[in-house]
Amino acid sequence: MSFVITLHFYSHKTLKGAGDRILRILDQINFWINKVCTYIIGFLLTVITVVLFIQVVARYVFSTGTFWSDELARYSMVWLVLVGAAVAVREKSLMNVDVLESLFPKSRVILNIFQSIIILVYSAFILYIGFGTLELVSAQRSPNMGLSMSFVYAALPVAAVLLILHAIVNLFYRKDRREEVKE
Amino acid sequence: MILYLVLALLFMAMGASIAITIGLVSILYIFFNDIPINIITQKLITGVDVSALLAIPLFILAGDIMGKGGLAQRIIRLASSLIGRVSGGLGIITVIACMFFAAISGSGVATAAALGSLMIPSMVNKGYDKGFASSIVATASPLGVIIPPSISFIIYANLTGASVSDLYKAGLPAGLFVGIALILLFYFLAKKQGIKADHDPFNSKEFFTALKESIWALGTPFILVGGVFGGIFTPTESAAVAVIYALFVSIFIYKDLKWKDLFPLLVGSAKMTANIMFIITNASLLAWVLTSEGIPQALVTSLIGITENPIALLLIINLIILIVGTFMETSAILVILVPLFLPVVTSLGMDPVHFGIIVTINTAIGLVTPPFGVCLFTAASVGKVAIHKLSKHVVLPIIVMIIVLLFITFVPDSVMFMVE
Repeated sequence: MSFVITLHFYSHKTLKGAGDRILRILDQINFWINKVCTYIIGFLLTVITVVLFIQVVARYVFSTGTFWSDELARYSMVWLVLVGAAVAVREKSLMNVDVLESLFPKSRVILNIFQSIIILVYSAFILYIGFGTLELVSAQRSPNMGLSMSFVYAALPVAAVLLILHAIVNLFYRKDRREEVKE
Repeated sequence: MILYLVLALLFMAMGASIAITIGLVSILYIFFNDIPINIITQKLITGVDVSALLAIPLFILAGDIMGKGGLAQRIIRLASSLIGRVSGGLGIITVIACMFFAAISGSGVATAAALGSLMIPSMVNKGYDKGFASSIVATASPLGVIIPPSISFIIYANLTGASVSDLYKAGLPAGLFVGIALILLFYFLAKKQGIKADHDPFNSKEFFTALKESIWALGTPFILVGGVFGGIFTPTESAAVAVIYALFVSIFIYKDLKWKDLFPLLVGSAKMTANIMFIITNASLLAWVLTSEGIPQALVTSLIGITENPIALLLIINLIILIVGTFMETSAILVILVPLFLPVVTSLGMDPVHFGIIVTINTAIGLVTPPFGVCLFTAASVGKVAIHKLSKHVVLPIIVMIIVLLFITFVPDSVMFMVE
């Protein structure tokens, strides 16, 4: 972990000026947000595993069903996937085709800007539509746990905000964080 | 619609995330065609809010625990002790180890990374050409998507309503066919290249030691595959039990996994899960757009317009999936293409389970096909060979895989004999 933090501060040296100061603060905030997000997705996977194991034990050992387990696991998965997507954007690990980048390393800067803009446009749409849907589903309740569906659908606008925050930093940080260590 | 698909290809070529590209073009289409926009959020949530898909994070987690907890290594040692003194012995062991590993993780890339770093150096040490050694890993690692338990089968069953246990029953012989064909090919190639018998002779003592060591590890594939075959567990249940079992074995019996390593491992599996399932959910949005636009029906009409000969039609479908497979991610192909082609093949009287096996083998071949095959890339980076050099070596294995694919396509009984 110390490795990640030093690496993180090192990247600040490339930034100068007032606009960059804001960006630096945003990057710092994103760093901690992302840290929290990785804990959240690790925790959600734990929940999924434990809940489903309890379901199996209940069924085969005690011959009873658990009315809440399937729903809880599914909703955990929804949050895991959407928050995890934001983590992947921060770490630049979302699956993509990087043939052009490896063939023409010089095009990387332009391609990275383009990729971040695509993420920004996507997230803006999701944020806009996601809030609208939230109102629509607020009256709905999940069939088994009676949970308001807003809890489930809130994952979309939350993920959209996270994606926008990470994409903004990725857009202006021209250099790959890993590459700076090698220099 | 064509315009949007061209746009998607352009975005992807420029390195935009596959998931986000697929999602964005679907969103743009919905916006510009006055379709109610709430369908977008609804599909993005319901695309992953599926009980059957809960098996995916658990498979990934079970695979990671097996890898870090020393279970995989013990199984590879067992595979290694099975093979005696034959030409290309190490290559054959690599294929068998890939098949075992596949039975755990269900991910081709994970298999290529784990076995590549282990087997490529030892093959090179014994005089294998670097490109040849890497090509063995590159072509054998995609077996993971064909041999159950496989994430692809879970996704396919969810799309078509086919029974997962039937897919497992047909996938096992299919995976074995491809594996055996590759073993025979590598045996002859090694012989032709003059690679001597490079492995210790079969030693029953080593075999029994390896078996004793790995007996606990073998419990995981037994739960994952046997539990579903026997009708005891659903795939998700089998995966939940396998995760807890593998955790118990690696912490308390093998003691290779420490408690403090557990949370980082969980986070790693969670990231992998999110990466794959974010593609699935965006692809399900695109699949909805395509279906609501009547593309599957149009495709049936136009394909049957070309020819009514079922053999020719199946060849065309295989060809299309193969081509798409070379530049698309496996789960995205399944979610987008299966709903398009299923009406065509069922009108030809094909069993959806059989079609599932064919699509899966196609995507497995796509994983090694240049220029975009991810297993090819992983093997190249682990084996430290240039892509263009490795590409030459995978041509022959790919041809062999295509021959097996055609055989399975036109002789359904070859894989369907266990399915009722």
